[in-house]
Amino acid sequence: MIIRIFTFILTLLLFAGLTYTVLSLPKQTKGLGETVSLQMHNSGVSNPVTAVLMNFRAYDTLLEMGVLFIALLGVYSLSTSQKEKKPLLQSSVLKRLGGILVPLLLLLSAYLLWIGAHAPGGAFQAGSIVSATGILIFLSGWKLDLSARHFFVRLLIGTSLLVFLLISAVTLFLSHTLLEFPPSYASAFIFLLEAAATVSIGVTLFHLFLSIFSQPKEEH
Amino acid sequence: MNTLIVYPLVGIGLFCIGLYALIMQPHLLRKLLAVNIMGSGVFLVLVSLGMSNTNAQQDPVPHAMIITGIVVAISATALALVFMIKIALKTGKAELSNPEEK
Repeated sequence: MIIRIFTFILTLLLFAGLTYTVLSLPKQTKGLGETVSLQMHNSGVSNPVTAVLMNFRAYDTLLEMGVLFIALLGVYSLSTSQKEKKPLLQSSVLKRLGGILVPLLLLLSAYLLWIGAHAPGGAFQAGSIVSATGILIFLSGWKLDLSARHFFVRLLIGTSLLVFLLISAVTLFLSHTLLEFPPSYASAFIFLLEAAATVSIGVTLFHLFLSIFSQPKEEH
Repeated sequence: MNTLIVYPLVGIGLFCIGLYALIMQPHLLRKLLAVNIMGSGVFLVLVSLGMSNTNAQQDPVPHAMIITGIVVAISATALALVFMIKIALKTGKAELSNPEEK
């Protein structure tokens, strides 16, 4: 009980301190919006968020792909494989609905990937829709083996990291700076990176779900 | 008073609620959820501060950082879930032991 009260008071103090910090921030800060908008014509895309993610701070995204990959490796090395091939939800309605939804979802993710150059959208949103499609396929019990035993699936998981490293090497060769795209080729580079990132994010998120979901329920 | 100030305050509130739950809840899944709520609070503070500095044009850098952060948070959560399942399989329960009960 004492611990509860003590923690409550401590959290309240933290809330007060953080609130004071936020309220006392200078009101007239410029931020980085202006810097970004001045350089937009060099970025190859017209959506500022995509320009920051894939061009100005592309190394962030490169490292993030590394984080996703390492997290999946960690999950794989810890999880015990289970040979259970029983579909979870056996419903003819779900099967039919999946047949309609899967192509639609893939189309939607391709649209989000493409629109990311001009409007909110991009690789992360498209990738999460790809992974949702995978989960839908898995749950409705289609006869489609998506497990990571296949070389092709493993290749898809590694695609974005490989493409990122390849393009890093190319840009290092072209402009002597890591991931600095020449303005005339920038949109092509960005589209390539985003397409690879979409596929990898989608498959990786789906496999994170799959390997957690198929853990054994009790110790053997 | 700027109405935009509500958003960072809600973010700080979420962070503090998550921190309290992280300390007080013994169940590991609840701790994991608490960490995720704390992360949401941080994202909300970051994006709302990016919004408030110029009203005409938003700062895209916090947006990009949050998109990156969400994906990293998902993968960290997945890894932590596997740890939790392993602990639950070894010890029979997904909770930290309470010293007061011994």
